[in-house]
This record gives sequence, structure tokens and C-alpha cells, in this order.
Amino acid sequence: MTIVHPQPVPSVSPASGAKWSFATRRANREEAVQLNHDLSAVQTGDLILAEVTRIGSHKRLQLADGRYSPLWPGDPIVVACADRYAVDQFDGRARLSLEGADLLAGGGVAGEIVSKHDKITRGTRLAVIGRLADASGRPLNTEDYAMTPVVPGRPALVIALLGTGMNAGKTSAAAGLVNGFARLGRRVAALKVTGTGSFGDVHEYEAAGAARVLDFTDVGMASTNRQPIERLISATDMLLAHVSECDIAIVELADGVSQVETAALLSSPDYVRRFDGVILAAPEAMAARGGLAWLADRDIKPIALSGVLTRAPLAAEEISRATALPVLCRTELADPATAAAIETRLCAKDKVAA
Amino acid sequence: MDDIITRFRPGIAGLMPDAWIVTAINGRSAPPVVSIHGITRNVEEMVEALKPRVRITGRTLVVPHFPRNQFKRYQLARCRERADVALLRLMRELRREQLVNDGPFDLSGFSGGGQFAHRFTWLYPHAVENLCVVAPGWWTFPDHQASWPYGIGRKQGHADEAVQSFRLTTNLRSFLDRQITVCVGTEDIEHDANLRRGAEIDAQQGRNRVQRARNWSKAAKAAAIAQEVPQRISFRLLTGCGHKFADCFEKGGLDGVFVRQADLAPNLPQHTKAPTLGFKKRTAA
Repeated sequence: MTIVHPQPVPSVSPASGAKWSFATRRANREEAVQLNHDLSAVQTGDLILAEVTRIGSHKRLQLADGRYSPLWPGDPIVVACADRYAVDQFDGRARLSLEGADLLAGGGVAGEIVSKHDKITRGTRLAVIGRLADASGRPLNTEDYAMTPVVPGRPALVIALLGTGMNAGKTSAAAGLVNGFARLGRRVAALKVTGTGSFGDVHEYEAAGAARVLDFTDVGMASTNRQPIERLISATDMLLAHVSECDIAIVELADGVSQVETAALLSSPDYVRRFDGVILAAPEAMAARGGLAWLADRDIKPIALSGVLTRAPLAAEEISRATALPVLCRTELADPATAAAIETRLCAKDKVAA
Repeated sequence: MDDIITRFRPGIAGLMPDAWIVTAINGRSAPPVVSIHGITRNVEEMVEALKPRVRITGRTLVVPHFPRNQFKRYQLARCRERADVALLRLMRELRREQLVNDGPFDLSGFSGGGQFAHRFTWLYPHAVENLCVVAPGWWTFPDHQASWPYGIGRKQGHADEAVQSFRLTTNLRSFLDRQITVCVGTEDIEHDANLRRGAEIDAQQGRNRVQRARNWSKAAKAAAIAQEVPQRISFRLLTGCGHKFADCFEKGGLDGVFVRQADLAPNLPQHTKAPTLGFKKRTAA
């Protein structure tokens, strides 16, 4: 018997066989047929072919298909060049050099580390092979693969989930809300409008029962850090329009309320008007007070508190007494009876506004 | 050939109750009526008693059965077994199967079913259009000094009570904005073992079902006035009736309020209403 081995199909793509990251998942890989080696001209969102040279903080890459892939020195990967703002990890810039680049986020964002949290080890290091380009030599960018604009619209109810900082419990609270409204029989959309591309939140929202899950990567951004505010506002509107057939959208804004882009968005009353209600997640009572005061300065009054502080009943009681706001843990948010009450609260506000 | 169809729809043990669905062949495109049994689980008696009303009104009737071994304390609605969530699930399934219309339904309950009905409506006011509560043994009052399930206040340090208080307080206005009919037989005045008794509850609610229903109606009306909600709460004594479902129907004329005549045109296409949501659809900012 003769064993015939299939011959590999010759590919013209320099990225053939590379691991394509989550942040680049919307790209049409067939368009990546050559490399552009002018790294100094790199733009935020450009698709980069790189090779792992040293494993550091990020030991896995989030793949476009939703799986993790452990990284090995020598792995070819496709990532997007973008800025990153992560207080407990890296502050990074969308810059590349012939000396290499850093993997700034496991979702597939590369650039140059400017500073890092002192508990974090050095970054995973990359050799930059080049910018992926189409047949005309034009570098490919995440923006090329953004969803197409649709007729303006929005779900009937839009609730924003804010936090006092990273790891305040925003995503967990947002997932709880998604679950509660879904169990109430509502068609729920979960949106993440700022942050750094990562599939963790997307998976969490899908698992909670969201009918639609979209984030800023769907509208062409690998990261929203250092992006023009007008672009972020427009992205929010486009994402809301794409889920307008849903009853409710739960919208998460990344990091803390005082993070540069989030702060700028929340400081715009016109932007805030998109939200029928706001819930604030905080890690502890005093952080909640600080967040509430910051929001009050902008005339934003959350309807409830949530987040990591709900793990400590005493902290929850303390802040609830001090603010008269309900403090709702993930399980309580996932209760359809809580969702019904939130809906009632916002409905009453809606009627007053009318 | 009969002009109504009675279906039995099996549930899922512990998650969704079995239900009888009675539909008029030439029915109306009206919200369904959901009727909740008392703790004797007299489901079949209820279905038989209400069939004539389905013929007259053309409305679809849903009678769930919360078995004792699965939903022991269903009267509380938000009980450990979550009878409230089970009913939400049942109605979602019936809508999906196109056995009932989208949108809110009317909810009626007798005795323990009346307990369930008013608590469920309080938790999910936008799910219910009209509420009819008949002779419950005891009530949740719009009383901020008493905690769940007697009132809507909270005791310090009770986190679960705090959240329940938030839900009920938030929903109070919407709850009182329903059409609420409270009925009780004039002879339903026993102070026996079938009634939750004790100095505290007697002081808060009254000594028997008549007093309790009257006191609750009064408290609800006062709360409605305080909330500036239009007066839609009515209290009705069923002359000569005790605590028997059949009596209340045959002698008390309960049937007309338990399954109300819908104020809609006949034979409209089914499933034309949007899902219940207390919001107006808006355009983008």
C-alpha cells in the first residue's frame, strides 16, 4: 500500500501558519499577502506579523476562534499594534522598532511598554517581522474590518456598568445583569465600548445568556486607549445601532471612571444621556464613595452599587447605609426579580422625562 | 363538538409547573388569564369552574399546578423553590408555543393562590395587567416598618431582606398602578389552624380573612394616594360565602372578576403585541 501524504497548499501569505489573535479576528486573512517593513510608520490598529522571542508576563495568546494557545519562543503570531492602559499591568504605546516589541495584552495587542505594575514580570517579547499588507502594499488595519454602519437606533433600555478601577467587579456585575434580564424574558445585548481587546468578557456575557455580544473590536479598534473621544462616541452609537432589535443593552466601560477615555466620555452630558441608568462597581466601601462623588460632580447618580465589595456583607451594609443605594451582588443581579425592579425604576424615570 | 379546547402541558419537575390551558375555538386576541390554586391544589375544580368563563369571554385560561413536593411554599412567590421564576418560565414557553399572546396577562388567585398572585405582581408589575386576589390567609402589606414577607421594610444587617425591600419598594408604585380587585366571602371569618395566626400578624393584618382583606385594601389605597397613583383598587365582599372556591363562584358571583371580560375586539390575529417592556422605543441620541 502506498501512503500518499497531502501536499501543503502553497500560500502567498507571509502569515500562513501564524496564530491569529482575538484582536485581529475580523480580518480577512486572504488579504494579507505581503509585508510592509516600514515600522516607523505604524498606525494604531495595524496588523503585525511577529515572532515570540521570550516568554514573559503573557504566556498564552487568545486566538481568533476563542481558544487560548500557550506561547512558545519561535511562535509566529498576528497581533494588532495599539496602546494599552492597564493600571495593574502595562502602560503601553502603539510603537514598534527593529529591536522588537512587547505583547501588551493576551488578546493580541503589541507595542512598547512604558511602565508596568511592580507585581508584573517583564513583558513577553516579540521580534517584528513586518506589517501585514494587501496586494497593493497597503498595510492592513483593524479599522478595515469594522462592522458596516447601520440605521441609527438603540434598544429601549440601555444600562451602563462603570467601575472605580480595574478589577472592581464590572464584568461580573454586568454578566449578572445580563442573566437577570434574560431570565426575565428580555432579549439582552452586552456591549463593551472601551478597553483592550480580550475574549474573556465576550465569553462571560455569552455564557450569561446575552443574545448579542459586541465590543469595540467589532467597530475596528484593538484598544480604545488614546483614541479620539469622537471616535469612541461614534463607536458606542454604532454598537447600539447594531443591537437595536434587543430589548436591553448592558454597556460596560472599561477601567475606572477616572481613566482617561472613560473620564472624557462620562464628562460629556450628551454622551451620558445614552444611558437610562448607571450601576457602579467598587472593590470596597471607600472606593465606592470616591466613585460616587466623582460621578456626582458630573451629575451622574447610579441606581445601585455592585462589584467586589459585595463579597463583604459589612462593607455592603456600610455603603448601603451611607448612600441609601441598593448594593447588589452578582447573584442578586442575576435574579429576574431584581431585573424587574431595575426595569421599573428606570421606567419611572423614563415617564418622568417624558 | 365543544367550543373550547383543554390542553394539559407537562412541566419540568421543580423548574416549571404543569399547566392546564383552556382556549376558546373562536377566542379573542386578549391577554391570557392565569389562575393560581390554593394550598389544597384544587386545580381540576378550578379548571372546570372557569371553563364557562372561557366560553363567554373568549379568553385563554392558564391554570398552573405547583405540586406540594416541588413548590411547598409557592404562596410566597419568591420562595426557596422560586415559584415566581417557574411561572415566568411557563409563560415564556407558552408564548413560544403560541398558546398565549405576548404581553402582560391577568392574574387571579384563590386563598394561597391569592397570596402568590399579589406577591408575584408586586415583584413583576409589568407582567400583569389586572390582578384579582381572593381570600388569602395573609398578605404582604405596603408597610415599611415590617420586613418581607409581611411588609416591604428591612431589618439592619439582613442583606437578603435589604435587596427584597429594594425590589418591593421600587415596584410599589407600578404595583399599585394595576387594576387590583380584592374579594372575600362575608362568612370567611374563621380564626382556625388554616390561618396564619399570632399576636403580631393579627395586630398588623386583622384576625380573619375578611378583616385582613379589608385592611390590606385600605392600606393599598392609602399607599396609592401617597404615591399619587390613580385609584384602581376595589374591595368586594361575596355575600353568604365562606372559604370555599365553589361557593364564591356559585353564590358570590366571583367568576366575572376572576376571569374578566376583555375589552378587545373579537377574532383579531394572535401574537400581535410587543413583548412586555415598560419603555418606549427610542431612536439613537
